[in-house]
Amino acid sequence: MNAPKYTDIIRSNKAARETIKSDSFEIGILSNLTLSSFSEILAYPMLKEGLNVSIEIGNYDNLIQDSVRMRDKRSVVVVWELSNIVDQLPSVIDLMLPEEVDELIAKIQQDLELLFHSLKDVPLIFFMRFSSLPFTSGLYESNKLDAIAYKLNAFLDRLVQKNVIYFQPEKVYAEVGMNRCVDLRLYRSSKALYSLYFLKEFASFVGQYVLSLQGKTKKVLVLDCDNTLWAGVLGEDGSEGIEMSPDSLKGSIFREIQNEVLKLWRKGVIVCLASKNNEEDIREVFGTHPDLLLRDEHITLNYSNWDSKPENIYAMAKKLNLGLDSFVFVDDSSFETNMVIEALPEVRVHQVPENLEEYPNSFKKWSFGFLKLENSDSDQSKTLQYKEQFLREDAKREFKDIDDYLRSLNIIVDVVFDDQINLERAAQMTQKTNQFNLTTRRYAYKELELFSADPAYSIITLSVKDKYGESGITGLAILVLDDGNYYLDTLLMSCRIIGRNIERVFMDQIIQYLRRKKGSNILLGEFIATKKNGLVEEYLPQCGFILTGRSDNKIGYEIRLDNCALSGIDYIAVS
Amino acid sequence: MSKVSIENVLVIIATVLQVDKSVVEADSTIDDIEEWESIKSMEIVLALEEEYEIYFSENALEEMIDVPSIMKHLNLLVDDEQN
Repeated sequence: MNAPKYTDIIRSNKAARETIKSDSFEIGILSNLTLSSFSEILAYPMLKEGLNVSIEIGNYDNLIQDSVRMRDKRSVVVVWELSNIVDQLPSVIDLMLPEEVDELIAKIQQDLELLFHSLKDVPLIFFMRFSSLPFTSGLYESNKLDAIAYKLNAFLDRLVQKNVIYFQPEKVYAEVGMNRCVDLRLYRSSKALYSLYFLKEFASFVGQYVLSLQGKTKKVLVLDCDNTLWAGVLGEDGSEGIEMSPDSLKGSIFREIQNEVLKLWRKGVIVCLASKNNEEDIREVFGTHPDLLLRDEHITLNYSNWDSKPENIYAMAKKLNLGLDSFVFVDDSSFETNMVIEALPEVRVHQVPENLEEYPNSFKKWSFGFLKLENSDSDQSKTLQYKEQFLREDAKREFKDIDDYLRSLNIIVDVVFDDQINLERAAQMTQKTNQFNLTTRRYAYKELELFSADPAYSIITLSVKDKYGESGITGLAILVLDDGNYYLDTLLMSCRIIGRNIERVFMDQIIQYLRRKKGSNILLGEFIATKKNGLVEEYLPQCGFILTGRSDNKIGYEIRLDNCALSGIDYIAVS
Repeated sequence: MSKVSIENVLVIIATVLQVDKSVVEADSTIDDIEEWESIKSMEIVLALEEEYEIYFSENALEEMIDVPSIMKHLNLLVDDEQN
């Protein structure tokens, strides 16, 4: 399906959101890639069909933690990119010992179990299967990355959870080539691997399932006959002249099309004809032609006449008492297809491709529009009852709660004070961090240099590593002793490390540091709201700070250093 | 391909940032517009690539964080295509 340009998608979504007033279908996205453009692209195929959706992208590389938060979503899309499971995995892997590779695989398998367990009640999960191809497609010998992808996919197959739909990215790679699917420029600069094209393909796949779950699937297939169901023109070539035999070159293609139509009919799709022919001629072909698989019994309405096709389709909709948006129309003539597009924009219209050999594959793709989920017709307003199918034999490996998971990561934070600070990185963080940022004060390197020379100021940074990698310097606090009180001028953390309670340990460290300094017993804090830092609004009260006042977009807090409680988190080590 | 019109580019940027057209001006930079986060620069680049059927180098990407630089790189590529 040719999705429109990204800007057209954004405009179309905006317009749709203004007109659709129904409750929105909530979708969560979990990924270890940056997928910011995906939220509009994913919403598009659903909004276009009148289904209101709201999409939430989880924090970057927080799949396990956010999976708990997203357990109430109607659907969750998981994009767990193999090459970014460990930083620079495609090159690091060849330096790893075999037992390290095994350990990595075991760890990911454990994470997968936890993730699927958290999401076991979500009606539809879309999971992109692991692929090594974005980083190995030109390397023809077997390699370790291929092997990991293979093992993880085999593990997925053993998990068997009925609410999981797998998306196979390698099919897209094969269809249009890797260069149209991945964009290494973006991967290097922002960890955004996939092209707009790829994301649109993925979105239309997801969209079709969601629409189907919501009962918004196509129900009626309206077919032209001449050069759509057979080669040739019945009115000119006669019953003997039209071709649809598996033994003739052109005919075999149309025979395949008839197979596809028959498959749809068996699935419950209503098949109708809209052909410019005499009705009795068509009836005769459907009754007696030896090469035709389709018979009268398969055809619900035969509107073979000389009226316009839009008129016929409109009449069918009335007769069947179905909306025009449940109709799909196929014709070989661009005159007819355009006329229907113009007159009945709700109808989905497909034209037989000019290169006839592409017709069967195209038709199979169109058939996806009739996708029907098992049990989905029982009650469209309720979620699918795909529940409680999740039976895992190895119960020991089940995590009790998220703390156990975090414990398994062996997180170590490294806190650095004052004179050893990397001021350049600190300045960069003040300029770039928007979300986990209490005050959003932007500082230049020169300003931080002045602070660091001033004994009233303290600058503290934090870096994090765990079993599988290091995040580098990703947290910063600036404190100033002013008027007899400490004041938390800045506290920020990179989104990469959110969701592991590291922020609580960071505050513990700050408090302990100030206790040692003994400059004051009071630490004042402030939350200054921006459009982007809602994430951190509750942070100070969670750390035990007491509200002292509010004004406009600011909320003031304080904490007594001598008798305040620390977080008690024991699974994060401090070095 | 039509010549690069700055009005067209401003509309594309405003659409990606989801702000009113009047917010983006010929001299706007990433620092002037709150919605223009660093990740949005990437989306702007991709939207322009779709619109003009071009492909920016990684070096160009780094610079394209204000309207004048965006116009500069756009004109370089679109001119190239025409020559």
